[in-house]
Amino acid sequence: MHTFAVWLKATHISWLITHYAWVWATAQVIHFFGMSLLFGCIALLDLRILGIGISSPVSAVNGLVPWGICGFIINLLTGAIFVIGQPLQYVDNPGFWLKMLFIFLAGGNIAIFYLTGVADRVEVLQAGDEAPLVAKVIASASLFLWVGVMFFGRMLPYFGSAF
Amino acid sequence: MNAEMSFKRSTRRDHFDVDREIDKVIHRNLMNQSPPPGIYSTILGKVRIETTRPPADPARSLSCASALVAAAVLIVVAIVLAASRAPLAATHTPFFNWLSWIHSTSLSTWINESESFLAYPTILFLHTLGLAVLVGFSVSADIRLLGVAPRIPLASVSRLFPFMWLGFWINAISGTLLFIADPIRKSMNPLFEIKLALVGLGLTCMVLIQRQLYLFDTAPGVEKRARSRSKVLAISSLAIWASAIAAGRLLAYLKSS
Repeated sequence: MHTFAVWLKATHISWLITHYAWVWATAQVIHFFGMSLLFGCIALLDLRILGIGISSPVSAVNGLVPWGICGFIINLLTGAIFVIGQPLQYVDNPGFWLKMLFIFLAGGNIAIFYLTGVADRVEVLQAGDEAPLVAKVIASASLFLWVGVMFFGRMLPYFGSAF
Repeated sequence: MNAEMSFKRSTRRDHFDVDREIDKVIHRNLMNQSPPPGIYSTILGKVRIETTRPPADPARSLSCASALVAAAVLIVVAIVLAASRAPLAATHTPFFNWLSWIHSTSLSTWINESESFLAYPTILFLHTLGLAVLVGFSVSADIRLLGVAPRIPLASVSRLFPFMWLGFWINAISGTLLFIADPIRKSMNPLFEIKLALVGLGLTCMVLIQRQLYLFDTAPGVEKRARSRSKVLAISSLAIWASAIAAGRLLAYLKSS
């Protein structure tokens, strides 16, 4: 992994990213937009499953999920810009790997949600219907994991001595 | 029945006819004296206004009022900071002395120098969390108002606002602590007061949107007229919060030398 990071640092695109100061700053700003979009939409669905805003049918709230996915993709791309630009800052940073772990777990949580059929059970809920307990557990896990992702993201400079 | 039929003929919002018909009924059945002319249309007019104004709700009024006060404070502080920076060489102004004093307090030193995880890193994280909640939910409310996921009832969107206010106050407190940690450099950075002013504007937008949603709920008749207003508010809110995030993030990158 470390040699891969060194190789990345030597690429032209990595040089481009660090050479123009506005690239990093702009990517940071867009990373925060993507985070707000992602968290806003996904947290909305999670809160509905947990019973807050129960006057919406879940299928209506599901309409926001594509936008949340959009936010995730925006962050994936800007995140890639960071990692490609300064790979050595991240490869040795335990905080970075914890953040990736939490993203992976959040993805696993989403996979469980859709693959075990809980998503279908939840989709048909109308206004005022309580979600099944399994769905509530998955929704709480989702909230915890995404807050964790934000936590480790924010703490990146404070873990290890890479920064 | 005569009075009913003639009343129906004149219900084309002709106040004068309404007055006359009600007069006739009341004369016939209740009173001997004539009421003052135009009294019934005046009463009907007042009733119509009363039913479209949302009923007074102390909790809501308090939250609106505190939000607007916070917005005003932010904008005033932004202006004060901008004005105080004008003579950059004037490092012995009373304002600068006051900022130096803040920087010398034990709270400021603790935030800066404490090795504890609960100090600076936690405050930073809370600031990010508050912004994710505030701007995240604000974005989803705004895109709902602009027509995305239209089957989400507006009542559910209103349920988001307490979380957004919680996010704002978490950010207000963590932001104040962050300012206390480094008041001089922050006040010398033009982006800081731009950010505060933008947050103040964003709060105003939030209050207006919250009121708009309340009106939708309580007076369905106003919906058509207010829909374009709510779209303008939604777009402004998106633009303002996006700019506020940009200003906040760029604070770290564009420090004034």
